[in-house]
Amino acid sequence: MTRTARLRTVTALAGAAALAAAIAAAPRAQAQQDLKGSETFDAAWRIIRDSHFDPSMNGVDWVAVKAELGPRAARARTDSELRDVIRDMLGRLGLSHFALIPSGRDTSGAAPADASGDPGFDVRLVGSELLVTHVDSPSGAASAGVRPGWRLVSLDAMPVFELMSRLPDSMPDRLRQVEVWRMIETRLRGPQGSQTSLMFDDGQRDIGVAVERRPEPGQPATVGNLPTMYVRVESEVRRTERGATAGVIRFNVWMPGVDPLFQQAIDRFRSTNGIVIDLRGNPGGLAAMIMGISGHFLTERKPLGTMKTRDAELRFAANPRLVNAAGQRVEPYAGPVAILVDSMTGSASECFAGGMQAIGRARVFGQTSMGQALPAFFDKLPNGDVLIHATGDFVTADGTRLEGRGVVPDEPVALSRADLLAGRDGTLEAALRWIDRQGR
Amino acid sequence: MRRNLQPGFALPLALVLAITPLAARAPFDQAAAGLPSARSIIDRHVKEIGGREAVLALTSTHATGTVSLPAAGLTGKLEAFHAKPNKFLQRMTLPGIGDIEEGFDGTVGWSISPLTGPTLLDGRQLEQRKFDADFFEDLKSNERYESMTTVEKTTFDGRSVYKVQLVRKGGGEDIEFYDATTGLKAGAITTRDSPMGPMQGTTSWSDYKKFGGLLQPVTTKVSVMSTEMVMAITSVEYGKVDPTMFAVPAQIKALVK
Repeated sequence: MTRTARLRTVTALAGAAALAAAIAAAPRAQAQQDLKGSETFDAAWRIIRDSHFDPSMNGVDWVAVKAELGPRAARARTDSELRDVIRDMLGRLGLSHFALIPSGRDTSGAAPADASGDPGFDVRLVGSELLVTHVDSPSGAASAGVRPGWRLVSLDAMPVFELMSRLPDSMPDRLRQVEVWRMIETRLRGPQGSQTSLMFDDGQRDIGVAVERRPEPGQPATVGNLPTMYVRVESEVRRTERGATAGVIRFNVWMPGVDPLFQQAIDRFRSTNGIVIDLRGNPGGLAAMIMGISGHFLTERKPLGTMKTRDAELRFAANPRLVNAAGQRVEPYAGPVAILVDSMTGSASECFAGGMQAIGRARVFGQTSMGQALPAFFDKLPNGDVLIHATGDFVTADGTRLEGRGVVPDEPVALSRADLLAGRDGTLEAALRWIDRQGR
Repeated sequence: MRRNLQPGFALPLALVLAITPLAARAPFDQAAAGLPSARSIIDRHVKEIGGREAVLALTSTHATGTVSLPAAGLTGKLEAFHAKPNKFLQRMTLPGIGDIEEGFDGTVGWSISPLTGPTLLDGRQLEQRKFDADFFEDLKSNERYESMTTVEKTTFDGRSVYKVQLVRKGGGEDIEFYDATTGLKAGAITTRDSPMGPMQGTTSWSDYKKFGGLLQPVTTKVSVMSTEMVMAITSVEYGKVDPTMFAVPAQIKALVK
């Protein structure tokens, strides 16, 4: 047997189920699987029974849930019916990161069979209005003249208010933000090159535009059963009002492709007066990465937080990054660090932002994050669907549990339509002003 | 025994062989009534895989295969290099993630992951890495353990096995399971320090097959935190590993003060 038998474990993969938002919009395999209703339901039930971080199942009588829903799963005649039953079961837990990713077209929702194209703009729910917060350039939306601050009125003739009215009034605001975004994103997507007809209110009048969907930009990354995601890392130097410099780094998902680009950005920003990490709209990814990214700002292996599983407590400790991209020894960045979050900042992004905030290494700006911060795994079910299930609860180093709470900014900045229409980014501006005050 | 082949190690091994029969009674090598001693169980395993001399004749191994997390649908390539006395390099190449590497050159223990960056091991993690890197680990040299005890005959992975408790010098203990029928090692429960804290894993070995003159387990399954990882060996080459393979990478060198 010698040494070959004693192979070591790979770093545990912790998938972020808040990715379900992005995942729901990503291209999916079209393979049609056998229904396997009882087998699939039982597998999902069993996986959760055996791996849920809370053996009491959050107070839910898990055996009773099976007794109630198992027969319904057995009677399901379509994939859609079966998924509804499993989602009902997952919903009973009342926690994030219990989700189902269909292997084929999910006929229970509005997800298109081919969701590989997007129009190139992002939205957030502000009060009762769905506002454009960002427009990519180039993109179909940019070509059509769509601008931040515009209110989305209808989507392919479907009034937005009608879509939102499908959500129960009792839904908490933070969850409503996520669900509305998910509903809209799902419908905005479609085949590359296809068009979506959109009606906006630009503040003065309604404007109808046809927006062509483009291929999603970024570096494709496919990890196991998770659908392909597209990694985008952007960085730039910004001047503050007083002439200081700040490196701004944005990335959209926690996937390994981020790390080398983040490293390069840090190397360019080592002499800036501050660094801003923009995690707005970042729904998470591979949770282990927060140890590597945080290490660019910490000289010690400080824990950002702890993942409590049924059997163990695992520290997410910073791995100080003492080598630059060229392989030379460096010191981690010691200047002020600002982190930007909003209602669509989730999972690994929350663990990072909340963890850095808890140890006092970063100041957080923006709107309270999703509050969906349970490290999770993803398992394939007998029918080919993928079950995302939380296996741990994340608590920051100061004891703050982020699930259901989110990361509360040190400096809350409300999203304002007036700011968006004026081309202002109030959250980034607040961060830059803070860096100014640090006087590095 | 190692001593007969490697003059530099002759004396300690000779001592071990000399003291083993005494130590086997108490407290070193214990067994509950009616059970074979831990030493005899381990020695039988060594005999079954090809014999102590065949093991000691090795200077290096290079294994290739696959690594997968079946539930997550993740499968990649695996390559492991080992050389005596305690050098190793292991590389997992996973689609969508990249190369995860771990190594030990006899002094420096390290890992490089696209998830967390380069890490230089120190403290207990380095001690454990050094312990685990021993090229002849399967021989379970007495000098490496405070005690070895046959705990019970039980069932592991559906097989009738002897459960052996191994208390390591320097702290910590491992549990190993040896197939009562074939004599081959069937599994282990080990706890190791990691950057995330202590992690316990259960490993099972199966599908033994001859590569060269030695039996090797083709399939290794590791269960950590309710997740199973499967490693399958497709080839093993002996004695052809370039020693420079174990050189510490530049990213790690920069971390060594």
